[in-house]
Amino acid sequence: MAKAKKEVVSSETSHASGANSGDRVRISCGTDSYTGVLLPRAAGAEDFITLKLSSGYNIGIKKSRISGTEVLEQSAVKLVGATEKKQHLAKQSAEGKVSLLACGGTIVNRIDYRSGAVYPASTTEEILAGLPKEAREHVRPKILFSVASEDMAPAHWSKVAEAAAVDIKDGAQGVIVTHGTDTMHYTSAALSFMLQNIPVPIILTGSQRSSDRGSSDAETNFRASLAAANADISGVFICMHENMSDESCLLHFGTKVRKMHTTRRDAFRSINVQPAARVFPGNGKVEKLSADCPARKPGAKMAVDTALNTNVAMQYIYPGIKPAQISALSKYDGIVLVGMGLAHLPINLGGDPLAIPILKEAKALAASGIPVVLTSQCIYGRINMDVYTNGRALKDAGIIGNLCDMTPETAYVKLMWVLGHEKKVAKVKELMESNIAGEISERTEIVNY
Amino acid sequence: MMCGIEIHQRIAGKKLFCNCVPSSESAAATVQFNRRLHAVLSELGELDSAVRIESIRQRLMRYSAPLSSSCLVEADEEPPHHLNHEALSAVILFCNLLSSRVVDEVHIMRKNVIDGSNTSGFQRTAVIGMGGAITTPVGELGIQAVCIEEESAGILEAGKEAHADYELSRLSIPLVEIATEPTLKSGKEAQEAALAIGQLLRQTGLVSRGIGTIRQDLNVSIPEGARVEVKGVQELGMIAATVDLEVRRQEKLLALVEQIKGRLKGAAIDATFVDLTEIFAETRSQLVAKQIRTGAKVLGMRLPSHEGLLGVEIQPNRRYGSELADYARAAGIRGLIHSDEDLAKYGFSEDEIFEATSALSIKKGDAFVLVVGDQKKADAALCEVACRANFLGVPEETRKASPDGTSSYMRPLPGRARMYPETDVPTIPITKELLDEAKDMAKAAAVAQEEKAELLSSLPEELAKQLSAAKGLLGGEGAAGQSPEIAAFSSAVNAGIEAKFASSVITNTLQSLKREGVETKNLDGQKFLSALLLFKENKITKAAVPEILREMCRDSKATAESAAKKLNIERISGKALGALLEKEKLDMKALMTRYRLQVDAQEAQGLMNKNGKQ
Repeated sequence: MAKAKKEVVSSETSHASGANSGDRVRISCGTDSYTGVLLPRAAGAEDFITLKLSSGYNIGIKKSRISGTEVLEQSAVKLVGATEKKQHLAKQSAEGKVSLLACGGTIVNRIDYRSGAVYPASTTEEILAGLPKEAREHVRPKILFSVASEDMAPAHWSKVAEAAAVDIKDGAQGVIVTHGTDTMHYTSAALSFMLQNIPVPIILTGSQRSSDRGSSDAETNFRASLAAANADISGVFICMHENMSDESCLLHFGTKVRKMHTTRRDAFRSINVQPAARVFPGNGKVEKLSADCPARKPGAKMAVDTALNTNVAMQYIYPGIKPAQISALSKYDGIVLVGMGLAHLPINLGGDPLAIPILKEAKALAASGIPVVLTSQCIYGRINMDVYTNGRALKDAGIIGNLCDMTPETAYVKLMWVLGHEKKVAKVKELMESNIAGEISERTEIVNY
Repeated sequence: MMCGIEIHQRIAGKKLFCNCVPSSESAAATVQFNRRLHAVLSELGELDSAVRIESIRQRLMRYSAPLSSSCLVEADEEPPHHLNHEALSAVILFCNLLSSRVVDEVHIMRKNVIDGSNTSGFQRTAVIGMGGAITTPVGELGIQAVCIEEESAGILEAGKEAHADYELSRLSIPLVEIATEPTLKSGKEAQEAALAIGQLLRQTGLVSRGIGTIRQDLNVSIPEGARVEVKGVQELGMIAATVDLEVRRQEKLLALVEQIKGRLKGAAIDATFVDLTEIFAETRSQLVAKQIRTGAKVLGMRLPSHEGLLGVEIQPNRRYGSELADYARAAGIRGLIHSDEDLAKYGFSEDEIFEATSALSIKKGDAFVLVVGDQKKADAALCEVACRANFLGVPEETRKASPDGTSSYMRPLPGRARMYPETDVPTIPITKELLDEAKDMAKAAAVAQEEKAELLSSLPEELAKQLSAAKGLLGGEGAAGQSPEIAAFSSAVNAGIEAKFASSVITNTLQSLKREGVETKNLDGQKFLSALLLFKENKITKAAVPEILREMCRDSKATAESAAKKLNIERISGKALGALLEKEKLDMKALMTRYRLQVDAQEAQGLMNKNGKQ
């Protein structure tokens, strides 16, 4: 939905006529005339001006048609620019027991109603103002950064982990991380590896509909997150809508979750496990759904380890992929392949004349000492390299990941974290194939699909 | 008085921001979901008053989404696609007909509406044309603006405290909104103007027909009164009465206000609410007792010097007390009890009333009001009532039209604050192509008009008139926005069926079947035509046509052929008829009595004559 990407034009924008945005003007176009407030162009082609009529409607007028502009009142409307947004601020309470770490994303976006531009909240007061009233006194907000989630990089993950660790050590009962939704599951996975033995809940949440609309899911998600942050659980979770209704949210384990829909409120799904819990934002009730959802661990000694080797690549495998595409991965220290089906690559064991095998290249990577981890683009289900000859060939080539059920994204984050600590391939293989932060489930329960 | 009208007419075709095709039939498969809508602050950090009222109610919105006529866009689970270009072209065409200046670039706006009628919390709307005029029987009427907007969801059950139920098949159907200048001087003028605009739109063949496809909002104000918008007049014939009753309401209110001012002598009504729950704890009033048991409070407020005024009639069967009750209802309370009513009818005892009046410190000449509901809503309701009672004048309001021409308060007039840009849809420059497209549509519409005129010209004047007026007899949509009846007539004539016969089957046969209670709308143009064609192919007689149609209405799976077979009324002719004649001993009367539906009298007569000659 509306993201921070739309450019905000400053209120200083001047128009050829000498009139400025915010001025009330009469625009003449031959015999026609239009009266209204001149607005900055938030979007659309530059050969139009935007006028807000007294009815509240905006229209565009072609510049080439304008024969005269008369300023009726200078700065008739004070436009809210990107740098001065003093509206509806809320006072910060020092008593909040839940730490709120804002990373940006739709959930903290605000709209400049006059220009229609969407911008991220840039002060803690603005963040608080966007929260449900009764929730404000319970949180201590901190702005870590204001980035769209597609711009979140591994360096951001470390910063979030460190900030959460500081607040938890400072006595926070829980942590809420507001985040763009596109890559939230990467961040939740990263936090799960970087922070271990966490005594309290760390809840990542976001919204699929911006807060400037009455139907935003932000309030429901936030209320549920606040309830979750105060609940008797611990670990890293994503908290988003359970379905299209505003009545319940699900808590997904940080390493077993993925954004599975571009637009729906219930875009996040637990992959290969039951969701950890269901939260009712109305009454704050938290209902555990998974036996693996741990209780709070008062006094637990949390391990904070944010070391990452970010020289890792993730490569989708598709019919017709060129062998050179695989060879080009040799400059990385680790590779996650998102393979086909049960975990297969086109390796043409049958010798078909039309097939384009990449076995030689994959083997060469593994042989050169680069850990190559295989996952499946099926997303759901466990991979198995023992069933078909294809898989066995890959296993023999030293490809890592047999019998794991990690999502490609979790495997990618995990490989960075593992390589941040370990260089020996054998050790890397062992770590990648054993469960560290809930990312590999021992059993594939029947209902988890 | 001053009156302007806003006509909302549905445009035929797809929805405004997705590819769903609306359907009037109730969908077999639906998905349900529930939402809570939140009040959104304006750019000044203020709540629009209309939005504030709804947010007090905090209702749960329950939606039913038909799978066949709504998608994720209507469910607010997917951003809007592009603006429907056909609908835009149609509105440009309407602008041309009204000489309204088309804007250079269209900006879609969001108008905050959180009563649940839009899943998004706003209605998308855009100005397409500004200015213009229409010639009406009462003179030239100025046009303020022509907008394109999305239809709201249909409410299934209104007036509930805790929730509102909506159905999404209607949501986002394109509407053209035409707002006139407020220069109309009577209800009659308003009605004439609405009729003229409606006709102009229908002539183009681009708009939907049928119940609910056109709605009129009326903006009425009188000197010393206020601008009041009466929304949703569905019957064209009720416009005059609705305007006149609104004028009367404002006049009566002004007179009443003078009386109140005289009595209050500058004093204000205190917004002091007294909790009377204890007094009514044992009440025999079922209405109140039931609510108290579920935790509701009874709150009362004194209205000083108001005795007798709450019972003053403002509109037929609506009193000043009804006006105050509307305000209480807007805050989510079921209703209001006031002292100008017969309180015994509620089942209150004299003791209870006495205790309540003392608790409220009621003196001679005072009145009081009671509300029952949960503490928060009851408080909010009395706040609204107190504000309304202290507003000594005619407040600016949005009111809901009732079928009898009266109206009830819905919400304050929304301000400009609730309009802001739709950032999910790019602005649309009005290109030459779009303008040309509108011109082509206009041409096509004109051609269709001509064709229709030509078609009807083959009929005697009286029949043509009847056929033009025919509506609601056939289902489905006619091409180019023609009525299904005209479309069916046209295809019958094109298929070589005699015009007079075709029109008489529509205006007489279908009409009388409908009167019998037969669902003639189960027939679409094609099915209708198939029955006539069966006749043309000599497989049935003229007399059998109504029976075939009746059967096809009854059984939606029946074809004309299968109906003829089933009813055993296939035409008997040629040798078989000859044999039959023999059997009936050449008794024409006996033959026709027995085989009226199967035998063509003319053919039988011909055969008889032939036989007779032999």
